[in-house]
Amino acid sequence: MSETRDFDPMELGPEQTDHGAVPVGITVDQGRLRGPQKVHAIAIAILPAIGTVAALWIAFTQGVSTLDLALCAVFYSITMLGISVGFHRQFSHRSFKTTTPIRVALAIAGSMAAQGSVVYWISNHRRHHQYTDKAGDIHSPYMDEEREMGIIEGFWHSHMGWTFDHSMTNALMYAKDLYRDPAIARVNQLYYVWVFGGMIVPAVIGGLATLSWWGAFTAFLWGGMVRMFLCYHFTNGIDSVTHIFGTRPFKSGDHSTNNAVWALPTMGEGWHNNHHTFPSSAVFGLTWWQLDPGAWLLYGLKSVGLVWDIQRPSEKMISDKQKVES
Amino acid sequence: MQHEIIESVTRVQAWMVSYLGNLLDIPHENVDVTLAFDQYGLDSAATVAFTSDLGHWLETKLDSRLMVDHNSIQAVSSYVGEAFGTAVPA
Ligand SMILES: [Zn+2]
Ligand SMILES: [Zn+2]
Repeated sequence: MSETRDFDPMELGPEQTDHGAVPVGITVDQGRLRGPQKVHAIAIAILPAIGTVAALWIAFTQGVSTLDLALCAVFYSITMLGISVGFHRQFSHRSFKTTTPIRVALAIAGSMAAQGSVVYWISNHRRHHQYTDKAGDIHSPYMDEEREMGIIEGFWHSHMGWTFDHSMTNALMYAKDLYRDPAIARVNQLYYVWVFGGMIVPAVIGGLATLSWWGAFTAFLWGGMVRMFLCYHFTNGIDSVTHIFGTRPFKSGDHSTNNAVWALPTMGEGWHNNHHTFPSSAVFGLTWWQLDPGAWLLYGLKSVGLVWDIQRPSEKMISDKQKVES
Repeated sequence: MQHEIIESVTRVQAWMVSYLGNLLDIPHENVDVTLAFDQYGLDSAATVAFTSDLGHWLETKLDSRLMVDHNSIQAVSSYVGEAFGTAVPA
Protein backbone atom coordinates (compact mmCIF):
# COMPACT_ATOMS: atom_id res chain seq x y z
CA MET A 1 0.00 0.00 0.00
CA SER A 2 1.25 3.48 -0.77
CA GLU A 3 0.48 6.39 1.52
CA THR A 4 -2.51 8.54 0.58
CA ARG A 5 -2.45 10.75 3.67
CA ASP A 6 -0.02 13.19 5.22
CA PHE A 7 -0.98 12.07 8.74
CA ASP A 8 -1.84 8.85 10.53
CA PRO A 9 -5.52 8.96 11.59
CA MET A 10 -4.79 6.33 14.20
CA GLU A 11 -2.11 8.20 16.08
CA LEU A 12 -3.77 11.51 16.77
CA GLY A 13 -4.13 11.05 20.52
CA PRO A 14 -1.36 10.53 23.07
CA GLU A 15 0.35 7.15 23.17
CA GLN A 16 -1.06 4.74 25.71
CA THR A 17 1.72 4.05 28.16
CA ASP A 18 -0.33 2.59 31.01
CA HIS A 19 -3.03 0.17 29.88
CA GLY A 20 -5.14 0.83 32.95
CA ALA A 21 -5.62 4.58 32.45
CA VAL A 22 -7.57 6.68 29.94
CA PRO A 23 -4.99 8.87 28.12
CA VAL A 24 -5.08 12.55 29.10
CA GLY A 25 -6.72 15.10 26.80
CA ILE A 26 -8.68 12.73 24.50
CA THR A 27 -12.01 14.00 25.86
CA VAL A 28 -13.33 17.44 26.75
CA ASP A 29 -16.04 18.19 29.29
CA GLN A 30 -18.99 19.21 27.13
CA GLY A 31 -20.71 20.97 30.05
CA ARG A 32 -24.22 22.04 29.13
CA LEU A 33 -24.02 20.17 25.81
CA ARG A 34 -24.38 16.91 27.75
CA GLY A 35 -28.18 17.35 27.82
CA PRO A 36 -28.74 17.68 24.06
CA GLN A 37 -26.28 14.81 23.49
CA LYS A 38 -28.33 12.56 25.76
CA VAL A 39 -31.61 13.56 24.08
CA HIS A 40 -30.10 12.68 20.68
CA ALA A 41 -28.85 9.30 21.96
CA ILE A 42 -32.22 8.40 23.48
CA ALA A 43 -34.13 9.59 20.39
CA ILE A 44 -32.14 7.49 17.92
CA ALA A 45 -32.34 4.46 20.21
CA ILE A 46 -36.10 4.64 20.83
CA LEU A 47 -38.01 6.50 18.08
CA PRO A 48 -37.03 4.27 15.12
CA ALA A 49 -37.78 1.20 17.30
CA ILE A 50 -41.31 2.52 17.97
CA GLY A 51 -41.72 3.34 14.27
CA THR A 52 -40.61 -0.17 13.35
CA VAL A 53 -43.16 -1.77 15.69
CA ALA A 54 -45.85 0.44 14.10
CA ALA A 55 -44.69 -0.47 10.57
CA LEU A 56 -44.78 -4.21 11.37
CA TRP A 57 -48.18 -3.95 13.02
CA ILE A 58 -49.62 -2.19 9.96
CA ALA A 59 -47.93 -4.74 7.69
CA PHE A 60 -49.49 -7.69 9.55
CA THR A 61 -52.95 -6.15 9.75
CA GLN A 62 -53.19 -4.42 6.36
CA GLY A 63 -50.21 -5.62 4.35
CA VAL A 64 -47.21 -3.68 3.08
CA SER A 65 -46.68 -2.23 -0.39
CA THR A 66 -43.77 -3.08 -2.67
CA LEU A 67 -43.03 0.63 -2.85
CA ASP A 68 -42.53 0.88 0.91
CA LEU A 69 -40.25 -2.16 0.97
CA ALA A 70 -38.28 -0.75 -1.95
CA LEU A 71 -37.95 2.65 -0.24
CA CYS A 72 -36.67 0.90 2.86
CA ALA A 73 -34.13 -1.16 0.88
CA VAL A 74 -32.91 1.76 -1.24
CA PHE A 75 -32.58 4.26 1.63
CA TYR A 76 -30.98 1.57 3.78
CA SER A 77 -28.35 0.91 1.12
CA ILE A 78 -27.65 4.61 0.59
CA THR A 79 -27.29 5.22 4.34
CA MET A 80 -25.14 2.17 5.06
CA LEU A 81 -22.85 2.92 2.10
CA GLY A 82 -22.61 6.47 3.49
CA ILE A 83 -21.54 5.04 6.85
CA SER A 84 -19.19 2.34 5.56
CA VAL A 85 -17.67 3.92 2.45
CA GLY A 86 -18.06 7.56 3.56
CA PHE A 87 -17.76 7.96 7.32
CA HIS A 88 -15.58 4.90 7.78
CA ARG A 89 -13.35 4.19 4.75
CA GLN A 90 -13.07 7.76 3.41
CA PHE A 91 -13.28 10.17 6.34
CA SER A 92 -11.96 8.06 9.26
CA HIS A 93 -9.22 6.19 7.42
CA ARG A 94 -8.57 8.14 4.20
CA SER A 95 -8.20 4.80 2.48
CA PHE A 96 -9.05 5.97 -1.06
CA LYS A 97 -9.24 9.22 -3.00
CA THR A 98 -12.27 10.71 -4.73
CA THR A 99 -13.80 13.97 -5.94
CA THR A 100 -15.32 16.62 -3.67
CA PRO A 101 -18.91 16.05 -4.96
CA ILE A 102 -18.61 12.36 -4.06
CA ARG A 103 -17.11 13.18 -0.68
CA VAL A 104 -20.04 15.51 0.00
CA ALA A 105 -22.58 12.90 -1.17
CA LEU A 106 -21.00 10.24 1.07
CA ALA A 107 -20.97 12.59 4.07
CA ILE A 108 -24.65 13.45 3.55
CA ALA A 109 -25.62 9.78 3.10
CA GLY A 110 -23.80 8.80 6.30
CA SER A 111 -25.40 11.67 8.24
CA MET A 112 -28.84 10.25 7.36
CA ALA A 113 -28.12 7.37 9.77
CA ALA A 114 -28.48 9.86 12.67
CA GLN A 115 -25.47 8.38 14.43
CA GLY A 116 -24.03 11.85 15.01
CA SER A 117 -22.38 14.35 12.68
CA VAL A 118 -19.41 13.40 10.52
CA VAL A 119 -16.93 15.05 12.95
CA TYR A 120 -18.48 13.33 15.98
CA TRP A 121 -18.50 9.89 14.33
CA ILE A 122 -14.97 10.13 12.94
CA SER A 123 -13.51 11.45 16.23
CA ASN A 124 -15.00 8.52 18.14
CA HIS A 125 -13.93 5.99 15.53
CA ARG A 126 -10.30 7.10 15.30
CA ARG A 127 -10.17 6.99 19.08
CA HIS A 128 -11.60 3.43 18.95
CA HIS A 129 -8.72 2.37 16.70
CA GLN A 130 -5.99 3.97 18.76
CA TYR A 131 -7.06 2.34 22.03
CA THR A 132 -9.09 -0.67 20.79
CA ASP A 133 -10.54 -2.68 23.70
CA LYS A 134 -8.36 -0.80 26.20
CA ALA A 135 -8.92 2.18 28.47
CA GLY A 136 -9.72 5.13 26.20
CA ASP A 137 -11.78 3.10 23.67
CA ILE A 138 -15.20 4.78 23.67
CA HIS A 139 -17.22 1.65 22.81
CA SER A 140 -15.35 -1.50 23.76
CA PRO A 141 -17.29 -4.51 25.12
CA TYR A 142 -14.41 -5.09 27.54
CA MET A 143 -13.47 -1.71 29.05
CA ASP A 144 -15.66 1.22 30.11
CA GLU A 145 -13.08 3.97 30.70
CA GLU A 146 -10.92 2.27 33.36
CA ARG A 147 -13.34 -0.47 34.41
CA GLU A 148 -13.45 -4.01 33.04
CA MET A 149 -16.91 -5.38 32.20
CA GLY A 150 -18.50 -8.83 32.07
CA ILE A 151 -19.93 -10.12 28.79
CA ILE A 152 -23.58 -9.05 29.27
CA GLU A 153 -22.81 -5.55 30.47
CA GLY A 154 -20.01 -5.31 27.89
CA PHE A 155 -22.36 -6.19 25.03
CA TRP A 156 -24.90 -3.57 26.16
CA HIS A 157 -22.23 -0.91 26.70
CA SER A 158 -20.56 -1.40 23.29
CA HIS A 159 -23.86 -1.73 21.41
CA MET A 160 -25.81 1.23 22.88
CA GLY A 161 -24.90 2.00 26.48
CA TRP A 162 -21.87 4.16 25.69
CA THR A 163 -23.92 6.63 23.62
CA PHE A 164 -26.03 7.97 26.47
CA ASP A 165 -23.54 9.53 28.86
CA HIS A 166 -20.00 9.66 27.50
CA SER A 167 -17.52 12.52 27.72
CA MET A 168 -17.14 14.17 24.34
CA THR A 169 -14.15 13.05 22.27
CA ASN A 170 -11.79 15.97 21.63
CA ALA A 171 -12.76 16.78 18.03
CA LEU A 172 -9.85 19.20 17.59
CA MET A 173 -7.42 16.41 18.50
CA TYR A 174 -9.08 13.77 16.31
CA ALA A 175 -10.77 15.52 13.37
CA LYS A 176 -8.81 18.68 12.51
CA ASP A 177 -8.60 17.59 8.88
CA LEU A 178 -12.41 17.71 8.57
CA TYR A 179 -12.58 21.32 9.81
CA ARG A 180 -9.87 22.20 7.28
CA ASP A 181 -12.07 20.85 4.50
CA PRO A 182 -14.68 23.61 3.86
CA ALA A 183 -17.21 21.42 2.01
CA ILE A 184 -17.18 18.71 4.69
CA ALA A 185 -17.18 21.24 7.53
CA ARG A 186 -20.36 22.67 5.99
CA VAL A 187 -22.02 19.23 5.67
CA ASN A 188 -21.06 18.68 9.31
CA GLN A 189 -22.77 21.90 10.44
CA LEU A 190 -25.95 21.00 8.56
CA TYR A 191 -26.20 17.56 10.22
CA TYR A 192 -29.86 17.87 11.26
CA VAL A 193 -30.89 18.88 7.73
CA TRP A 194 -29.62 15.49 6.49
CA VAL A 195 -31.21 13.58 9.38
CA PHE A 196 -34.65 15.08 8.78
CA GLY A 197 -34.20 15.11 5.00
CA GLY A 198 -33.62 11.35 5.16
CA MET A 199 -37.03 10.95 6.79
CA ILE A 200 -38.93 13.50 4.68
CA VAL A 201 -37.74 12.43 1.22
CA PRO A 202 -39.16 8.85 1.39
CA ALA A 203 -42.41 10.28 2.80
CA VAL A 204 -42.69 12.72 -0.12
CA ILE A 205 -42.00 9.92 -2.63
CA GLY A 206 -44.61 7.68 -0.98
CA GLY A 207 -47.16 10.49 -0.85
CA LEU A 208 -46.70 11.47 -4.49
CA ALA A 209 -46.72 7.86 -5.71
CA THR A 210 -49.99 7.02 -3.92
CA LEU A 211 -51.45 10.55 -3.86
CA SER A 212 -52.42 10.01 -0.23
CA TRP A 213 -51.35 11.09 3.27
CA TRP A 214 -51.49 7.46 4.37
CA GLY A 215 -49.01 6.55 1.62
CA ALA A 216 -46.71 9.32 2.82
CA PHE A 217 -47.01 8.02 6.38
CA THR A 218 -46.21 4.36 5.63
CA ALA A 219 -43.33 5.45 3.35
CA PHE A 220 -42.01 7.55 6.26
CA LEU A 221 -42.25 4.48 8.52
CA TRP A 222 -40.40 2.16 6.10
CA GLY A 223 -37.97 4.56 4.40
CA GLY A 224 -37.37 6.55 7.59
CA MET A 225 -38.00 4.64 10.82
CA VAL A 226 -37.42 0.98 9.83
CA ARG A 227 -34.41 2.00 7.75
CA MET A 228 -32.87 3.95 10.68
CA PHE A 229 -33.64 1.12 13.13
CA LEU A 230 -31.78 -1.36 10.92
CA CYS A 231 -28.87 1.04 10.27
CA TYR A 232 -28.55 1.73 14.00
CA HIS A 233 -28.36 -1.90 15.10
CA PHE A 234 -26.25 -3.21 12.23
CA THR A 235 -23.75 -0.36 12.64
CA ASN A 236 -23.63 -0.65 16.43
CA GLY A 237 -23.16 -4.38 15.99
CA ILE A 238 -19.76 -3.62 14.43
CA ASP A 239 -18.73 -2.37 17.90
CA SER A 240 -20.46 -5.14 19.87
CA VAL A 241 -21.01 -8.30 17.75
CA THR A 242 -17.75 -8.10 15.75
CA HIS A 243 -15.70 -7.47 18.86
CA ILE A 244 -17.16 -10.57 20.56
CA PHE A 245 -18.52 -13.22 18.14
CA GLY A 246 -16.69 -14.63 15.11
CA THR A 247 -13.28 -15.76 13.96
CA ARG A 248 -9.90 -14.08 14.42
CA PRO A 249 -7.68 -15.12 11.48
CA PHE A 250 -5.21 -12.33 12.27
CA LYS A 251 -3.45 -11.31 15.45
CA SER A 252 -4.75 -7.76 15.47
CA GLY A 253 -3.88 -7.10 19.10
CA ASP A 254 -7.55 -6.62 20.08
CA HIS A 255 -10.79 -8.63 20.20
CA SER A 256 -12.10 -7.77 16.71
CA THR A 257 -13.61 -10.64 14.70
CA ASN A 258 -14.64 -11.61 11.18
CA ASN A 259 -18.36 -12.39 11.10
CA ALA A 260 -19.90 -13.54 7.80
CA VAL A 261 -23.47 -12.96 9.04
CA TRP A 262 -22.67 -9.33 9.79
CA ALA A 263 -20.78 -8.68 6.56
CA LEU A 264 -23.52 -8.30 3.95
CA PRO A 265 -25.98 -6.01 5.81
CA THR A 266 -23.07 -3.77 6.91
CA MET A 267 -21.72 -3.39 3.35
CA GLY A 268 -18.59 -5.39 4.25
CA GLU A 269 -17.91 -4.07 7.74
CA GLY A 270 -18.36 -7.57 9.21
CA TRP A 271 -14.77 -8.43 8.18
CA HIS A 272 -13.78 -6.44 11.21
CA ASN A 273 -10.72 -8.49 12.20
CA ASN A 274 -9.38 -7.85 8.69
CA HIS A 275 -10.11 -4.18 9.19
CA HIS A 276 -8.38 -3.85 12.55
CA THR A 277 -5.40 -5.71 11.08
CA PHE A 278 -5.22 -3.48 7.96
CA PRO A 279 -6.99 -0.28 9.07
CA SER A 280 -5.75 1.82 6.15
CA SER A 281 -7.13 -0.66 3.59
CA ALA A 282 -10.24 0.50 1.70
CA VAL A 283 -11.06 -3.16 1.05
CA PHE A 284 -12.37 -5.24 3.98
CA GLY A 285 -13.10 -8.57 2.25
CA LEU A 286 -9.66 -10.01 1.52
CA THR A 287 -10.75 -13.20 -0.29
CA TRP A 288 -13.26 -13.69 -3.12
CA TRP A 289 -15.84 -15.18 -0.76
CA GLN A 290 -15.63 -12.38 1.81
CA LEU A 291 -18.53 -10.30 0.43
CA ASP A 292 -17.74 -6.58 0.61
CA PRO A 293 -20.37 -4.39 -1.14
CA GLY A 294 -18.55 -1.20 -0.04
CA ALA A 295 -15.48 -2.31 -1.98
CA TRP A 296 -17.67 -3.18 -4.99
CA LEU A 297 -18.94 0.42 -4.99
CA LEU A 298 -15.37 1.71 -4.82
CA TYR A 299 -14.19 -0.43 -7.75
CA GLY A 300 -17.32 0.54 -9.71
CA LEU A 301 -16.57 4.23 -9.19
CA LYS A 302 -12.91 3.58 -10.00
CA SER A 303 -13.88 2.07 -13.37
CA VAL A 304 -15.51 5.37 -14.35
CA GLY A 305 -12.61 7.43 -13.00
CA LEU A 306 -14.37 8.88 -9.95
CA VAL A 307 -12.28 7.03 -7.33
CA TRP A 308 -8.54 6.35 -7.30
CA ASP A 309 -5.69 5.25 -5.01
CA ILE A 310 -7.79 2.47 -3.42
CA GLN A 311 -5.58 1.07 -0.62
CA ARG A 312 -5.32 -2.72 -0.26
CA PRO A 313 -2.74 -4.93 1.46
CA SER A 314 -0.49 -7.07 -0.74
CA GLU A 315 -0.63 -10.89 -0.55
CA LYS A 316 2.68 -10.79 1.32
CA MET A 317 1.37 -8.31 3.89
CA ILE A 318 -1.62 -10.58 4.41
CA SER A 319 0.41 -13.77 4.86
CA ASP A 320 2.87 -11.97 7.17
CA LYS A 321 0.01 -11.04 9.48
CA GLN A 322 -1.64 -14.48 9.42
CA LYS A 323 -2.10 -15.90 12.87
CA VAL A 324 0.61 -18.29 14.00
CA GLU A 325 -0.99 -21.18 15.91
CA SER A 326 0.39 -21.29 19.40
CA MET B 1 -11.14 51.17 29.46
CA GLN B 2 -8.04 50.81 31.60
CA HIS B 3 -4.69 50.31 29.96
CA GLU B 4 -4.16 46.84 31.52
CA ILE B 5 -7.56 45.66 30.31
CA ILE B 6 -6.80 46.72 26.75
CA GLU B 7 -3.51 44.84 26.94
CA SER B 8 -5.22 41.71 28.30
CA VAL B 9 -7.81 41.82 25.53
CA THR B 10 -5.02 42.11 22.97
CA ARG B 11 -3.17 39.12 24.44
CA VAL B 12 -6.27 36.91 24.44
CA GLN B 13 -7.02 37.95 20.87
CA ALA B 14 -3.47 37.17 19.73
CA TRP B 15 -3.62 33.74 21.40
CA MET B 16 -6.98 32.94 19.76
CA VAL B 17 -5.86 34.15 16.32
CA SER B 18 -2.81 31.92 16.51
CA TYR B 19 -4.88 28.96 17.76
CA LEU B 20 -7.51 29.25 15.03
CA GLY B 21 -4.88 29.90 12.34
CA ASN B 22 -3.01 26.72 13.34
CA LEU B 23 -6.23 24.72 13.63
CA LEU B 24 -7.46 25.62 10.15
CA ASP B 25 -3.98 25.86 8.65
CA ILE B 26 -4.49 29.44 7.44
CA PRO B 27 -2.01 32.38 7.75
CA HIS B 28 -2.60 34.26 11.00
CA GLU B 29 -2.93 37.58 9.17
CA ASN B 30 -5.91 36.13 7.30
CA VAL B 31 -7.85 35.37 10.49
CA ASP B 32 -10.76 37.84 10.73
CA VAL B 33 -11.46 38.43 14.43
CA THR B 34 -14.97 39.72 13.73
CA LEU B 35 -16.12 36.64 11.81
CA ALA B 36 -18.51 34.28 13.66
CA PHE B 37 -17.04 30.89 14.60
CA ASP B 38 -19.57 29.00 12.48
CA GLN B 39 -18.40 31.00 9.45
CA TYR B 40 -15.06 29.26 9.99
CA GLY B 41 -16.78 25.87 9.76
CA LEU B 42 -16.67 25.18 13.51
CA ASP B 43 -19.46 23.32 15.30
CA SER B 44 -20.20 22.92 19.00
CA ALA B 45 -17.71 20.04 19.36
CA ALA B 46 -14.99 22.37 18.06
CA THR B 47 -15.92 25.41 20.15
CA VAL B 48 -16.16 23.28 23.31
CA ALA B 49 -12.62 21.95 22.71
CA PHE B 50 -11.36 25.44 21.73
CA THR B 51 -12.87 26.85 24.96
CA SER B 52 -11.30 24.05 27.00
CA ASP B 53 -7.84 24.84 25.55
CA LEU B 54 -8.34 28.57 26.16
CA GLY B 55 -9.23 27.66 29.74
CA HIS B 56 -6.02 25.62 30.10
CA TRP B 57 -4.01 28.60 28.92
CA LEU B 58 -5.78 30.87 31.42
CA GLU B 59 -5.42 28.15 34.09
CA THR B 60 -9.15 28.19 34.78
CA LYS B 61 -12.32 26.40 33.71
CA LEU B 62 -14.49 28.37 31.26
CA ASP B 63 -18.18 27.84 30.60
CA SER B 64 -18.63 25.35 27.72
CA ARG B 65 -21.01 27.82 26.06
CA LEU B 66 -18.53 30.72 26.08
CA MET B 67 -18.14 30.68 22.28
CA VAL B 68 -21.88 30.38 21.74
CA ASP B 69 -22.62 33.41 23.89
CA HIS B 70 -19.65 35.31 22.42
CA ASN B 71 -19.54 34.20 18.80
CA SER B 72 -16.26 35.68 17.44
CA ILE B 73 -12.63 36.05 18.50
CA GLN B 74 -13.26 39.76 19.12
CA ALA B 75 -16.29 39.07 21.33
CA VAL B 76 -14.57 36.33 23.33
CA SER B 77 -11.33 38.26 23.83
CA SER B 78 -13.02 41.44 25.03
CA TYR B 79 -15.16 39.41 27.45
CA VAL B 80 -12.28 37.25 28.72
CA GLY B 81 -9.78 40.12 28.75
CA GLU B 82 -12.08 42.20 30.92
CA ALA B 83 -13.05 39.31 33.19
CA PHE B 84 -9.49 38.11 33.81
CA GLY B 85 -7.54 41.38 33.49
CA THR B 86 -3.95 41.01 34.60
CA ALA B 87 -4.45 37.25 35.17
CA VAL B 88 -4.18 36.76 31.39
CA PRO B 89 -0.73 35.23 30.67
CA ALA B 90 1.71 37.42 28.77
ZN1 LIG C 1 -13.59 -2.13 15.99
ZN1 LIG D 1 -12.04 1.71 11.29
